[in-house]
Amino acid sequence: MIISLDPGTFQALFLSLRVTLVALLLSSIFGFPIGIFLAFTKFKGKKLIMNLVYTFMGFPPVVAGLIVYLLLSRSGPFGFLKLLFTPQAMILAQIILSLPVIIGLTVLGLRAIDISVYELSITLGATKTKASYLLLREARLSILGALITAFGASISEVGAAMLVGENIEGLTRSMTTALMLETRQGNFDRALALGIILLLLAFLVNSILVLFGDIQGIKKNARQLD
Amino acid sequence: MPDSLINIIDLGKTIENREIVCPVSFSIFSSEVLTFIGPNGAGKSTLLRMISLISFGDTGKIEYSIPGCKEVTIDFSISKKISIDQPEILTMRQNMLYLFQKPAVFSTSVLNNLILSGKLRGQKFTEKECESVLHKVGLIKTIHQNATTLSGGEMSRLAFARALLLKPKVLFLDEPSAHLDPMGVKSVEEWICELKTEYKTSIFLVTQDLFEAKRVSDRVGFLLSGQLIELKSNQEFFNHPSDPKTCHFVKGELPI
Repeated sequence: MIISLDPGTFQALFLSLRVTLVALLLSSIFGFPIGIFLAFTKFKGKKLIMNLVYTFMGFPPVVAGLIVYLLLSRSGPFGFLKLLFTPQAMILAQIILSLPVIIGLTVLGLRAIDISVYELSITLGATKTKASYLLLREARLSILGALITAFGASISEVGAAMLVGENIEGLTRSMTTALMLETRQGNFDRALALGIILLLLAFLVNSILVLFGDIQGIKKNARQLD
Repeated sequence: MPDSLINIIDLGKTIENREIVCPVSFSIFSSEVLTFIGPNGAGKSTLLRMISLISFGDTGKIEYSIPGCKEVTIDFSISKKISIDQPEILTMRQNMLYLFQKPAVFSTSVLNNLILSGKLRGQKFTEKECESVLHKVGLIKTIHQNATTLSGGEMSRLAFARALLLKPKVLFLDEPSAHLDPMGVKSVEEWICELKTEYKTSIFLVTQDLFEAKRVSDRVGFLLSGQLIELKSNQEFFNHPSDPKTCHFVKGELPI
């Protein structure tokens, strides 16, 4: 089965990948700027916000699923959109899960780097914008780490996918929900095969991310992510 | 009297109601080594940061007449909203250089650190030019190593490599020998001399090390609690200090 990939498995694989990557992209678009803002600005209530972000990093997926379910259910505030049990609903749930991860890890990464690089750039004659960019570049490994973590959490997640997707074959059946179904039906060989494919997929995507990080980084760099 | 490059007039700074630098006035002359000594928390670094335009003062003004640049006066008492990105401030910064007490490096190879430093100033350096300064500061073996993996002393050397390569008109040094072994200290003092005599760089140095001040300076000032107690030529300062507080400090006695 691993080699042949029947159409059902292929669909599940494609859906998992699509949901995860779209959610990751949208979370990045919003998450990185918010993270940068939170890392470098001081304001009242920042501690509370950071505390919430860190709490949401460990958000139980089932709870995220429940919230999306309630929002999108027919009697919920967004019920008219008729999005429940669609891939879009799954993406929304994944965003709730991965956005805090990206924000939180970006803030932590930027805090850990040496802020003196900013002043070094300033004394060398850089403008504020250029100095900020150089500072961000120092945090490229943390940014990569945030992406990998968010991807991992998202692709392996099953609770929310089950709740808001309902595991409809060909529409919202993902790798993880398919795996659960096969296990329940006692098809352990199929379940195991799905698990292996899922792991291979995660390995492939992470390899691409790490490779990208290497290119972004500097060759002959002693601090590569190995 | 040599030309003054930078005139500091009543420059002061207060942070959270504490007067870090009380209004001070003095000048930095062309190709001289001016050293301010003083205990911890005397306001040395704050003063250096203000004159090098990394941070701004609250009161007073600074007049820059750096050769090859338009004369610029930055008045902190009038215009409250001064931006670090203002073109004239940017130009001034590109002609000066600050070497921090805790050296900062970019997380890239030693060679790229130098090339990037040049880029930020709009100067292009070949690998050969970089190699020759790295040779001088003894970092040639680490040329392809990531600069963040260097030791504190090596980072200080890299900072000096930057200064020797960029040849700023004014160089600000904050405890330049803090991380260095005795051999390193000797080299630093040689580089200071080289920059001053060969490239006519004016050097403003702050340190707690009396002996270093005595060895390298043309003029020496004593800063205590943000106040400039005394500023004299090197010999005068160490042989005939006029203020009793300076006497105590120079003799190594604890101030009363």
